[in-house]
Amino acid sequence: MGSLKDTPSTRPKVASVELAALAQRLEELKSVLRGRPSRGCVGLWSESVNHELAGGGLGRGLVHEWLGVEDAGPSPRSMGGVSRWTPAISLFIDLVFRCCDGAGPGRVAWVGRAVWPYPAALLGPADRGRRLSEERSLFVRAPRSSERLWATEVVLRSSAASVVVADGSGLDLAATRRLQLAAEAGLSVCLLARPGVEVSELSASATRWLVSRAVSAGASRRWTVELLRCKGVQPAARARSVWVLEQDRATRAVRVAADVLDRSRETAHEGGFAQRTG
Amino acid sequence: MRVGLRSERGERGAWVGGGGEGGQGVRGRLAIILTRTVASRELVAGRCEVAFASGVREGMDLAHARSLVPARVVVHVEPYRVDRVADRLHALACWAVRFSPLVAVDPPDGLLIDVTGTERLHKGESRLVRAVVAGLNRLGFAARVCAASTFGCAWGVARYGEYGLSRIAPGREREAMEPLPVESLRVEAGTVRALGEVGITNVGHVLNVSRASLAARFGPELLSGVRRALGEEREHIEPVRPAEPSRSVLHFDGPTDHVESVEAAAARVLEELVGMLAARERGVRRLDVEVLRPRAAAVVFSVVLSRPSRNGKHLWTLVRARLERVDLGEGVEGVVMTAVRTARLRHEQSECAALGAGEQGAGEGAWGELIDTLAGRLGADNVTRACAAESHLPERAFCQRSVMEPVGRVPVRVTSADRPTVLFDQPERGEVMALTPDGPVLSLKWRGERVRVVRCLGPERIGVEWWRGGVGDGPARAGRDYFTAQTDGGRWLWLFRSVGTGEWFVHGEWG
Repeated sequence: MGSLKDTPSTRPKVASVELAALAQRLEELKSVLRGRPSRGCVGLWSESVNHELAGGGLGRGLVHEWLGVEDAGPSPRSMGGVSRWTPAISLFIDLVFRCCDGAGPGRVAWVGRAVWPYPAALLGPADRGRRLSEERSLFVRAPRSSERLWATEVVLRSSAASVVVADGSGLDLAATRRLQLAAEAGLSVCLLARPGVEVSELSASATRWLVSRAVSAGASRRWTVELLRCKGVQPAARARSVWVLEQDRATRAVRVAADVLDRSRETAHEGGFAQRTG
Repeated sequence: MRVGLRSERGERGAWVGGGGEGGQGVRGRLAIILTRTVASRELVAGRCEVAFASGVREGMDLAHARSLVPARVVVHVEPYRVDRVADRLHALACWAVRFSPLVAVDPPDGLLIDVTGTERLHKGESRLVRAVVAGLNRLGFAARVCAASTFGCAWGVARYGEYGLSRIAPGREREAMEPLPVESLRVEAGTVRALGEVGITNVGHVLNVSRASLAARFGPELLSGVRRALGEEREHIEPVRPAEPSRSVLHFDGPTDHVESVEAAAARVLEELVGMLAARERGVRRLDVEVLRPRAAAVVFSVVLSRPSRNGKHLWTLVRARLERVDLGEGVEGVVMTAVRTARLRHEQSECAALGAGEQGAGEGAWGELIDTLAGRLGADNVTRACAAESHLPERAFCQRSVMEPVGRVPVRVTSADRPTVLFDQPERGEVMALTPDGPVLSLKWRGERVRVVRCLGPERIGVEWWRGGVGDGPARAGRDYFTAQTDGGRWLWLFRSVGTGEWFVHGEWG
């Protein structure tokens, strides 16, 4: 009967362009109020990815969650028999190099034993363009999650490091909110690695990505990366949210694989909606 | 190294001449060469006794020098750093204070000691000279010593004289210096050249020329050199003063167990110490804090910093964190802070660090403070840096060193081969089905599960470190063949087959 229930057809259609402009203006006002210059962001692997993110890339002074790759099968002995995940360290190394490309010496802190990379990729031979010398990388071991949280917060607040890669397994909403506040106080990019099973946890991070492995035909390595959430951008407004990344064995450069199917989210979204109202 | 000793009473002075910069050169198994890069060529700037004995001289090309050293001797090559040499010489001068309180540094490789009045203490000058040489040899230096009445004479005889150890009787300076070349008068190269043009090559010739014409033709420097050597002019040296560590103390009127009072007192002591450091232009690297208690032993703890700092706020954060854990017991009656290890820290550096604190390029100061804060709470062993080690075995190729240890080692070549991003702590055993026993892998049973391998690249053979003697430990008894394999789930694993035993292990993966 004539109910005043809000159905999608009666909602006013606000143009998405106006919303984006308003959001931008709000950000500018916020930064003016805080008295800090705008921070900029780090460009990712291709324009199609950058387009979907607020600000055109991974924003500095924000927390970005990367829900890592799950192992199928029983828990490994070397991890103590508890977790069964491996963080996407190759992608992190690529992101770290991108974050450190800017002006000034780039420094990175790796907090938590689970996200420590094998240093060959960092300290590679000097003739390679991408190389972080020994004193630019800090490896922090903190077995307890409270200590890990404290250490990540301290590094973020001091903003001496351009990028922080932290093991965020087991953090709840309050913890991620603390990290987000600490990140906003500084200028570093925070990459938080979490096991894939924690996708259902609430989190205060600015962007959320889910990484899984993909089989590759050649000798290059492939991952499927899905953008689950980006603050400031509506999920419906996104054209694409799944990409396949490829890393070349020789050059270790990561880029979007050329031959990938375009899966747009809108068809899936509308289909689901139709089911609900139907 | 030269140590100059001079005695007022008989005008005795002594020069100890140096034979060369070098650490363990006297044993004959290790040769040390210091190099200087001139127009992209590496030339020898300094050498030790063993290298000298093999024929290496200053100014030689490094490759030539290496070829002269016999094969059984290990050659260690390092760049020549003037500041390090100066620091070392200063430290040596502070050591030499045990012979006489007036020790001066004579760069680049000498010391001057004034031993006026110390003959009784050392029971004679010859014993003193021998004691100096013995002490220097114990430290690893090869030294030439000369004792004479004037510094000039001792300098010349030690550097250019015949014998390593010599002693010039008072009044015999003239005949001791006559056979020496003109450089022993401490004149510039230009003057030496000018003298050579006229045919004056040794000091005897110089002394035969009249003083007035010497001054007129070659300048006052030559004349003063002659006068100083012969004792007609007094020469003074600038002695070094070994610095006392900065220390600030506060005693209470009576013991107190109020935490706030103890903290306030400690803050005041720290402020005073920072003031002392600022006056000396030094930063502290290790701070010892003693909390004095009545009728009990004092509680001592040290705060170690990765970089010299005199930032009061930062030091207070570190000290306070440790002070909170101190057991006050019956009360505290004083606080003492000593800056045990300090380093030179100029004024502008600390200001820059404070300025750049909020910006992206925060600078070394903020990074150092971050490291100190993390190490203070988590322990210095839990905050590390990855360093490349001299090994090609993957598990030994990198080691984690604590951040408090200084960087600046000899650079090590890192392999450019493809290495995984995660290396397991221990290689994990697996069962492999392959086409041939040492061939590409078809399927792998690992961690209790069988996976199919869709692609296998390799092998890469990594050999054993045969120079460590005997066989390697663990699986590396005769080398390993490494394969890179992709499973049907898209996972890339790094596995190896031990060549000696034929067992397969999974060593790492690409995350």
